[in-house]
Amino acid sequence: MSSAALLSSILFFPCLGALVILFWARISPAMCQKVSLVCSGLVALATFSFLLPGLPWSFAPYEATVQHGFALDWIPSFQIYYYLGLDGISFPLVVLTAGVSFLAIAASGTIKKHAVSYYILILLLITGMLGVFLSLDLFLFYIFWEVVLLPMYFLIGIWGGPRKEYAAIKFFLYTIFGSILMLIALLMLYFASDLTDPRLEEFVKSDTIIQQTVGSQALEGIEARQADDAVQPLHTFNILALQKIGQLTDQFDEPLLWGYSLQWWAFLLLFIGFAIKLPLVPVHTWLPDAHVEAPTPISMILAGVLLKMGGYGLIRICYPICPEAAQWFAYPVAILGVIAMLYGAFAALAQWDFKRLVAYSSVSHMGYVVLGLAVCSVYAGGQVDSQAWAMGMNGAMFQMIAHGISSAGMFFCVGMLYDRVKHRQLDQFGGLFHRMPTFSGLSFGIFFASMGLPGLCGFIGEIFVLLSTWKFSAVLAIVGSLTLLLTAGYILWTLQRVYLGFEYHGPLPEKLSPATKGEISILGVLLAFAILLGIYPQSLFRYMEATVTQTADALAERLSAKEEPDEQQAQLRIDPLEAPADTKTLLVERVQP
Amino acid sequence: MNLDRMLPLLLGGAWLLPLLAFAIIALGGHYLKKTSSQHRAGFLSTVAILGSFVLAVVAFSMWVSDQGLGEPHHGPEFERAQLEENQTPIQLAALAEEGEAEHAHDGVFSVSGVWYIWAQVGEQKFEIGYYIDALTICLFVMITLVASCIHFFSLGYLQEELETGIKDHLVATSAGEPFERVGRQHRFFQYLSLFCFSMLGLVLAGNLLMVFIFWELVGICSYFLIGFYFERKAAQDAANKAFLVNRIGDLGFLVGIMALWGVLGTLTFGEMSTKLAELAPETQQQASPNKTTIQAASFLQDEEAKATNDEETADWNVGLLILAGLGIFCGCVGKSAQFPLHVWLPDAMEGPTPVSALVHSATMVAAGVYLVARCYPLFTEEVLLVIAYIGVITLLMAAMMALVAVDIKRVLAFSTISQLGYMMLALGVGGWSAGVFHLITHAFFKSLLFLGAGAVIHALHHEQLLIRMGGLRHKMPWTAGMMFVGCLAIAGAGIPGLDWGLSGYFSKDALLAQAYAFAQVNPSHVYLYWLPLAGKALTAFYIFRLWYLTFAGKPREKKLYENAHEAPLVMLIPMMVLTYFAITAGWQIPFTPSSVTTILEQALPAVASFETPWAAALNYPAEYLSHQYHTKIAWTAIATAGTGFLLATIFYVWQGLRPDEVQKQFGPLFRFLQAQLYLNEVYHFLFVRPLHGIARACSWIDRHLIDPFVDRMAKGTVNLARLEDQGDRKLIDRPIDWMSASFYDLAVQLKATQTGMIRQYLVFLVLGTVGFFFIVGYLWQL
Repeated sequence: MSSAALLSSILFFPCLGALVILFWARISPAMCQKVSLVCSGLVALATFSFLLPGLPWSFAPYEATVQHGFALDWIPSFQIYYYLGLDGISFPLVVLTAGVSFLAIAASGTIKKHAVSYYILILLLITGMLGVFLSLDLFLFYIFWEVVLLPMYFLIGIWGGPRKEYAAIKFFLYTIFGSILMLIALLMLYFASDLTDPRLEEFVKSDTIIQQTVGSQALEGIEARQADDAVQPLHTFNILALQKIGQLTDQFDEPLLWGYSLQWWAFLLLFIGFAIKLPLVPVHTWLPDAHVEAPTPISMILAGVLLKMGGYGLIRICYPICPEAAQWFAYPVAILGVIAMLYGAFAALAQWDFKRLVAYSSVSHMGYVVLGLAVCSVYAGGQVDSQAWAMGMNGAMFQMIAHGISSAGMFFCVGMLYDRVKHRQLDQFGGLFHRMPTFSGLSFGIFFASMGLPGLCGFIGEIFVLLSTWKFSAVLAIVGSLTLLLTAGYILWTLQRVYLGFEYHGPLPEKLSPATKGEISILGVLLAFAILLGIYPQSLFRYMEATVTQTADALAERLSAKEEPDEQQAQLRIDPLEAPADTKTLLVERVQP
Repeated sequence: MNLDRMLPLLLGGAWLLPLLAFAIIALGGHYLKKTSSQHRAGFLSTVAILGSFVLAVVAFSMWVSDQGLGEPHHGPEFERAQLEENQTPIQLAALAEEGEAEHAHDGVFSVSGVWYIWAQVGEQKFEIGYYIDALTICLFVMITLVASCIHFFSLGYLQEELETGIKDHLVATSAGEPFERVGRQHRFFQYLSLFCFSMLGLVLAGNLLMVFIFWELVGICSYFLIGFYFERKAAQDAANKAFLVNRIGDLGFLVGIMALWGVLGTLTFGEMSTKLAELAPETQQQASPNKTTIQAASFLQDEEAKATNDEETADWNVGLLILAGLGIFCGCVGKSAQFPLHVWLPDAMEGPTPVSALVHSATMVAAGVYLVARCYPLFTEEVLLVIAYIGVITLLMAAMMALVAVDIKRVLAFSTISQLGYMMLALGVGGWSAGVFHLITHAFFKSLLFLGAGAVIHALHHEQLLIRMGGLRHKMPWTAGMMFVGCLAIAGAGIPGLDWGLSGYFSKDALLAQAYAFAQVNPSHVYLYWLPLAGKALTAFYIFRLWYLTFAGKPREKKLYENAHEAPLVMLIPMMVLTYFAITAGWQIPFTPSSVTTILEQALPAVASFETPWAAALNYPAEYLSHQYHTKIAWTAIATAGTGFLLATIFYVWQGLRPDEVQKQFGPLFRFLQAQLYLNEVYHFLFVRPLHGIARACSWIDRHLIDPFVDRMAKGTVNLARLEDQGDRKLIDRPIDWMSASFYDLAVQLKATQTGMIRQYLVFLVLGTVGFFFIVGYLWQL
């Protein structure tokens, strides 16, 4: 099966399911769920099958390049292509999306209102999310980014809680604001890009997708440019090409406004756009409201997948395309990350609504992602520490996956309780260990995964990010590690108030029935993955590490290369003892006047 | 025999067996709802830990047959002869350094390797591996032995957890009745097995990150076990407190790990010493005079720049190393309940007594001491001094609190803190093997004491207050006897002339001798010897106070006394085993000159050899040098302990002095000690409340600053849209409407000309044509 057919069918299979539901006359809610379950189950199976070795389409581990990449003409006059592909950054997120969506649909049994529209929207949402992670064309990426927005708006606004309209419109406005900034940035980048730069010759010749799409045009342009002929610039929306342009040429270095370069502005706009989605303090307040009002399955998808789109945008677009700006912004971004970690944890500590608490814990955990991406530490002499940066980025990626698992599980736990007793007040629980023992045991596992207990998935991302931050700034690392204490505080306090104690002291105690088999299996699957990633994190690193490390290396190389002349001088100055005699005299002469 | 191959296999197996038991119970727990079948879980756990013990013993014997039992370290004869005479401290110090150079470690034999790569990023690898030396093996045997005993004991102690209707008298339902619940013995053994796995993993770990992983895991096991009676508010709070206070220490540990990673680039124990060696000459060079001569040569400025640059890096590195040492020690302060993070351990006594015996006296709390011992080469002299002083403060403070505690388990908890302080002190003054040796002997006698206390509590149906006991020696002669042995061991009883005593005699003697030797060469730190010595009297006093109040005299509560009974065999036999080791753990192994100490000394690490810029002028006497003081110290120690014993006897047996009168005399001090120096309240006021305050502030900012801002923005936009809408209606629509209306009116008026009469139309036509020509003609003329 060709890559085009394979990836496209995975991407649009949920739409097919949506069509089936749409045209199935008088379909019952249960049937809708079954169809969606089968549909998303097949998608999940297909993505998981990439993990199996030996299949013709299996995803090769320890491989940094794009796999299954293909491009078809879409709007060729603007160099816009239908360009999809998988690499170490997108693949784990695609698998996570498919898995969490499947579990979310499995958890949708309680949705009875307008079931047809609900399942159609959720299936469209899955296509949107997969599209965001799969597309390697910036324009296509933006389209899918917007596609995600609308179903989510309706899912919160129609099936949500009492303040659903407010929450939905807040979510929508926040995100659309970010999207507009993103749109500006990507148009800026598009019109500044030029593939006919001779420095890109090697890339243009080696990249098969470029070859297939605009290769001949680009090569002609390069030749003409080398011959000093006037050439029409060849713009591109290809994300990988834009990365190369950012890393190899100075096309984005032009000053744009108030003395800052184009990439500085592009970074800023993109960063705000992605930070809203992530969400980063202080643009995070849509999240608690959206979570509190959203129905359980939607919360699972929101926390499990949607937030990761922000982190993915940063690591895929923002950082690789604008390296110098990334370095310029290293400290502000890192500080924002630490603030988010602490602020989210503190705010969680003060919540009385169970779901709001979990929402704030998401804010805190996504702060690690930002911090991990930002740690561009510079040695004396201008060399950028690619090792530490690679570690930070890997930590950030791992944190996203781990959080996808643990937060989906936590929201599911809250949802299960809400379904039974119709309230979420933390001070009106207690004693659940007696009434729902299996559920309580599983919840402890999930909550401990979120707390960053070693042996479960939450620990690895945190420790990697903090270790890499140490090289960047010891103070930030120490301040950031306070989050560990606060996290333990609010998680343990929550567990105590909800699960421990001898009796449940809230309304509707008779409704607290033990967990059903379906509920146990959803939590069990999540916990199993949390344990697997915790005791053998290499099982995830083997797929993503090569790509992420390559990204960090490329950035570090670009930023180090900038400083090289200085550094050579520094070396000359530092090593008079080892230097040959004539150099010594030369140096002495230079110093003495 | 191939140690490299067999040891990881054996110890790895011993490590994983409890995990297997845990997994089976955790997954099968669903099927153990019936209390009648829960005892299977207990058996499974016990069999697993017994299997671990057997494997550990096999590994130990393989080690011994390959590596021998170790020889007692003694300096060359002539040196000793010189040392016999009185010498000035300076000379002694010089000798110490010489001796150090001679003894400088002929390499510690260890087996280390990797099981699997945990995570790899770029070239940085993090591995799940092992590091096995004499220390690892000894601790494996000790842990599995004590754990096996305690598993057996628990089978008896938690017998009642097999019933369906357990009344928890400490929890009152809203109706005022005691809360009734179903037993859950299998959960207890599930946590216990997980704990054994984590604890063994901690000892086996091949790198610091792995230590950190298991460090946190033992913490969470401790959380579960303290909170075993989770219906009780006190137990929940104690469990939370234990975990959170430990997390504070762990933050320091994490900072230490980060600093160490920054300075060494590795966390693997096997690689650390080589990396340190690479670092050491660099730093030492700074102090060497050669450097200055070179500097005196040509191109001064550049040279100086380089030198200062190097010096800065070196200083920076040493600074980082000190930070790393302090950080790691901070973790140990949390785990080993040292001042000021000791507050969780007394509360941790809310857990079932076997847990206190295993987790909170013998193994987990000793993990901090183990880690200090394991990371010994990393600690610079400043850090060691900090360790020593923290140890002294802790041991005195806890011993004094033990004097006034009224709960039998709390006395033992304070005693544990105090003994851990002794171990830290020993490590801090250079007594590596003395500290580790005391760790092992303490594990035996303290778990014996806890099990004895457990037997008493079991017999009295969960009565823990000392003032309600008394006279129990008649009812429980075996327990009383064995506990008396435990008391003698912790007090360090022995006969110095014959060099015979219980285990505590040897280990305390060794560590006091080392403290004495240290105080001899560092006169400014003489308190590091005198205070622990005073602590010994306190130890003897509080421990015999406990014994007298429990077993001696007349019963103070008749009813409790009547119902008391001797513990069943399943509880007595483990205590007998522990009694045996509490007596003999310090003895020489028959027909050899060796003992546990010499086996441990096979793992003796080199003392840190850093010339640190901030180093106080400290001298660390090599441990073998302190052997000469043993006899002298032994007499002093016995005398102090005897004083303590005598005082306790006067107070509680002969009634020569009345305790309540003394209490009245020292009222404020007594209350201060009983309130644990008000540290809990101080911490609550200084840390807990401010943190909650900040938390509320953050939440407030969200609700009252950010959200209104966003809402106003949205509202503003809507208002703007409304304004625009009004503009549309009034400025644009209105003129257009007016225009269309006037056109309409015009059209209506013009309608009147439409009459339908041909003649009239003709007139209009003619007039129009004539008019047209007139106009055209007129225009033409222009």
